[in-house]
Amino acid sequence: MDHPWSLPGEWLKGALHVHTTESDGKRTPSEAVEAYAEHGYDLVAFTDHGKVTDAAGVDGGGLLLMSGAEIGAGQTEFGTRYHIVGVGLTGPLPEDLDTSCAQATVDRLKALGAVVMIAHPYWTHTTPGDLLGLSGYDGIEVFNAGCEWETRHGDASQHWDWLIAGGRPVLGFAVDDSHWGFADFAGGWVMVRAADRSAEAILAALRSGSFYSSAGPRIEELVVEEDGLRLRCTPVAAVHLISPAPGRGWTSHQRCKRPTCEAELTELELPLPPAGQTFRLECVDAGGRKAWTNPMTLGDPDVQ
Amino acid sequence: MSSEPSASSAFLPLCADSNPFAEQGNWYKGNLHVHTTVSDGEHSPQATVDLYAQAGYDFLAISDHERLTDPEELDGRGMALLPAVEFGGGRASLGQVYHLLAVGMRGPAQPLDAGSSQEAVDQARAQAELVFIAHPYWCSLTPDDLTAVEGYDGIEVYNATCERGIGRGHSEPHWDCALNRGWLLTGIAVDDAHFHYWDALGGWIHVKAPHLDRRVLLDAIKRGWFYASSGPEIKNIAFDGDLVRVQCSPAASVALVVPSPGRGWTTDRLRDGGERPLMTEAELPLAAAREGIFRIEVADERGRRAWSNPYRLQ
Repeated sequence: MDHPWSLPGEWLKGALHVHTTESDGKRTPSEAVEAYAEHGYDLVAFTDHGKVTDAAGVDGGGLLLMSGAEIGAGQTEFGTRYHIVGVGLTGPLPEDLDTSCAQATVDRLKALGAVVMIAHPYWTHTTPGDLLGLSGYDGIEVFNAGCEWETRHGDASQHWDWLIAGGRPVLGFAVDDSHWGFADFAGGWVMVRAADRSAEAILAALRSGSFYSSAGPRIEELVVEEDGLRLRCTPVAAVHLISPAPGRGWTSHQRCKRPTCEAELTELELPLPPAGQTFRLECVDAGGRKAWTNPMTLGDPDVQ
Repeated sequence: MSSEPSASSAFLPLCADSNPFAEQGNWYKGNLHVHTTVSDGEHSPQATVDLYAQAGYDFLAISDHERLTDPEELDGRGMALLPAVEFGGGRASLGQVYHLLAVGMRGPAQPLDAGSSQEAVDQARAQAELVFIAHPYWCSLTPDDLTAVEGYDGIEVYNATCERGIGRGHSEPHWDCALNRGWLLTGIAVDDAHFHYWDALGGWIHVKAPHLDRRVLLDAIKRGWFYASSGPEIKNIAFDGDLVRVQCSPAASVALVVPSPGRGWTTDRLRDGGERPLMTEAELPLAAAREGIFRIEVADERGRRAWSNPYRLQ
């Protein structure tokens, strides 16, 4: 099974959902880049509302900058628009982009070469029907720090599992959605395993799921062995093996037989999930901050 | 947002005139969901009662699978014991059964013999004062499964054994979606402890009641006069003009959660990039709810939460 830790390349820390003064953000593109540089990012994508902020005109100061946009389109069950983020756009948005229809918007952004994600599903209160009713997007924002801090609706892990349980193991991106009205940045990011630091390599890695998402923990190693998964990470309180199936899954808490055995984990052996069953991992630190792997499936159920 | 009375139960949203924090009485702490050797739990019913009594709980509902563990046969050690059963029945969208937590059983358990999920809820409700849909996330229930049935009182917004067993103990998105569709549900936190690993003392409710009595507790829970917790304590929720004031044990953040797109407010909006001290008081703007349903959520520095029941202020 290919996963980011088994691939060659380097880890790049990226902010994939960032607003600037080009739409309703309070910092200019250059000021936004400065803030991310201070926090050790390698990559920033500008995703202003309804327009492509041209990254080529901004001094990245060593960071790789990409262009994108956030587009409101269609209508959800609860009467709001889907917010759809496209990262990796190279020109202005087409004038005939049909935002009356969310599917048309997804399809057009994909045709333009963008990595496409459904933004903040919990904040928008998208239902399983809303999420399963659209197709062709690369993933959802599994965590949106701005939404978490603005309304407590930033963590869309359950929405993700509704999709996975529905047979749609899409990717999960953690983002900031920074607007800079308060310190709404450096709260959610992706760690991309890219062949090199080019925009092409990064977009290819994002499309293929060669990344994990985090609001805190760093997952340093994941090895699939014959008798289990071996994981190494920065100190966490728990590691969850999340399965979409009713009652299935595992967490490191199961090894705790007494109330006083709260441990700080940095290395862990997890049981091997059954072949053919989609699962994902969550690492949760002592403050409740998570890191999320993308959905994985071991083996080929037809061969078992 | 529906303004119709709930299709789900007798619960009406809390408001300034029906606010457990403004009522006379005492707060009683209890767990409504735990298993014993009568079904698949590790400890005998009396040993289970003893454990919760020693932990300082005021009430407990032993809720074995499909069988009533009769509180009359147990020494409550000073706690009020509520008769309860966890039933399985109906069929949700992935083909799985609903788990229904029936609290305030009126007699021995009659296993559900339901042709439909609604009949399962109806049969559970016919046997008990209160019915909650247990651990929606653990069951892989979708919000659609919650709103496919009616006539129940609430859901387990937090279930400790589900969190500590498979990382799926939280069901806030399910709750919010159901609220958004007009299902006015309460949210309880429970242990669902089986003691095969450490899964006790992780989720509970605090009920406001005039005194500790089985009947009085059931009535208060029915009215939603409680809040749920996996750690923090909510000491007061008070309404003052355009503000709601919350007092709590030391919290990392306090939120006014609104189950509709883009709304709500949290104290994290006050972030300035530096370390933030823990708070024991917070003021939240009611305008964030725009006269709709909202609930209060407190999070401590370990990510543990307390959840109020839904309010609506006109």
